Amino acid sequence: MSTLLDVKNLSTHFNTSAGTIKAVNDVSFKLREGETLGLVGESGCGKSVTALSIMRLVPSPPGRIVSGDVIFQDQNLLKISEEEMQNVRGRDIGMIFQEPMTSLNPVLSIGRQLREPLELHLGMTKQQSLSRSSELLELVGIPDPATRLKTFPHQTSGGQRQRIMIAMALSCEPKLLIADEATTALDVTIQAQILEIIKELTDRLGTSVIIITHNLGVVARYADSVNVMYAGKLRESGSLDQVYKQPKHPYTVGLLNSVPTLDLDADIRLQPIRGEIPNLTDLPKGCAFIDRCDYAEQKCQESEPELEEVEDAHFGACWEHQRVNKNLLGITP
Amino acid sequence: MTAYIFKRVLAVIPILIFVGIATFSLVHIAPGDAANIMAGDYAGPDDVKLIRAELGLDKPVTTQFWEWAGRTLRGDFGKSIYSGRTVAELVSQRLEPTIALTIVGGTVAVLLGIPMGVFAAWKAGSRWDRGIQIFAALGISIPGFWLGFIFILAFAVYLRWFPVIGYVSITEDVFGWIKSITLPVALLAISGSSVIIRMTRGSILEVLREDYIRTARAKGLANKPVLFRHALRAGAIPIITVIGTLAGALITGVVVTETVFTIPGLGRLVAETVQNRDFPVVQSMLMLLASFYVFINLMVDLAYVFFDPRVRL
Repeated sequence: MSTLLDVKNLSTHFNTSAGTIKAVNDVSFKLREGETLGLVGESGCGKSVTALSIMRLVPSPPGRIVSGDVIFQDQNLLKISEEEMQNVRGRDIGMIFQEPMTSLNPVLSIGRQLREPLELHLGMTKQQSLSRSSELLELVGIPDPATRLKTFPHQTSGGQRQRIMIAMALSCEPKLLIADEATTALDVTIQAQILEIIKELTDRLGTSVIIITHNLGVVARYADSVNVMYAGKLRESGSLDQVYKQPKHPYTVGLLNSVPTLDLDADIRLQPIRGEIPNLTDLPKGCAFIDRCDYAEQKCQESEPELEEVEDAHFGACWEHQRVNKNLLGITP
Repeated sequence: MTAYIFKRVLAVIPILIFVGIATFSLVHIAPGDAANIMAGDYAGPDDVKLIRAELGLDKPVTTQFWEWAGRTLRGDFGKSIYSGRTVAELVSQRLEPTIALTIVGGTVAVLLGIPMGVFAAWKAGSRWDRGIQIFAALGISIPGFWLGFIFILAFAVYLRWFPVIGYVSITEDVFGWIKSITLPVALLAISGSSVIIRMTRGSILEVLREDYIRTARAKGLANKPVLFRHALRAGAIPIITVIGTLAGALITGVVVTETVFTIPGLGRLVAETVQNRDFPVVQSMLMLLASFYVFINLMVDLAYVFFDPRVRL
């Protein structure tokens, strides 16, 4: 399958009074058509900023895309004009956000908000967009869609709102869907429903998906490949099997070992990653993970490891990657 | 909502009773009375006494109040002590310039203030934003009467673009009407739009940080619909509130404006009658203005429902 999205050396910085935060620091990855990519990492590691950079929606100021290329369907999204970018947003790339309660405009009706991309990108008339909106709501499992179109977001539950967001993001049948922590704010049963809807619809449309989450279980269930981010950089990337079965970065191991699974023995304690994420305005000279790492050596203090191919299509950024992969408690795809 | 409107209309009654007591007391507490002024400088105490009796000012204050309240309730707003004309007649004569000034001035203020405020919020921190903010700060802080005289001096006396004083009725000469209200409208619009600019900028700036604005942009919407459909509607409540306050302030503002430009409107009528202690007119005028305030407030509350579906009345 051909490459849909090619992110090359993307760097996005935030200028704050405390200094420059390198939220996204030289990140490169590819996404094939129809592929689902899981982008995982702790809060503040740069997952969301990566997504917002692709959409060119980084709040600016203080944020700024400093360098890199985002090649999407043979055009560089970072080089085209804002007007051209507006044609990409919503039509070619749809996005779902974390906060269903605040991501819909409280003073506009649901129908009005659903109709917008249809009329804007597909040139539908009000009648056409109304009936299409109704169909879309039905697709995401909202009962009595015609009535629901006339209501406002505050009359709707969180799960329902996220369904509406999905309907909106997929309304123009985009090539790429970015789900930024789309289910984090929902309770577990609703999470599963929402993810199933996303999977079913994107499979049907052949849409590529970037799932941004800190939930490794979600990635295990839905993603084909995984990118692990830490302190603004990609630390590991590979297929789901490679990353989950033979992680090549101590951070990935740490993440996997913090996940409770049903087949764990009851007497095994989960191992949280010790320490905290480093101050992003003042990263250490060597590896950014060094203070929390069980494998740290002298070399790790002196220079930062780059992402290198440790096995076929499996990349890791760790000097000690050959020693990694001990004591894996086990969450399996 | 009809129940709400009904309740609000009923609530006007105690407000007007209070305003009635307050204005009546104020007029009677104020030093100097109409009898003294009418009698003139050379009148003896007997003359003044006679005039007092004629006006009913010798009766106890409470009696005067009940008589006045009774007449007002029957729709008889009294007569001017000086001209002898009824208040209704005086008001209707003076109504047109004031209505013209407030409606045109208010509309210009809104049409100027909202886009400038939205633009400033959108370009927050830029030179444009700073320029607009300086304009608004000046517009609020420069006294109207001073700016009015500067306008007259610059545009009427030196440049001779507009008449120095006076008002031309729209029914007489439309072009002359436009010329006669341009300067006073500019004066009202500058101070009015400044207030709107500041509120709009603040409100929109806050809304632009909301998640749903990011959603709107993620759909591919251009700046105009994002700002004016999504942000302005969501941030409308404080803006409408300030416009409501402004509508009240405009009515008081015309007292100064009409005096500066010598326009025979309600504002001038209030100013003149207060100076002359023409208490029947003053009292009725204050009641009229208070009712107008209450009405505007009701309109603002109803507008909330229209702009924010979460508001239930």
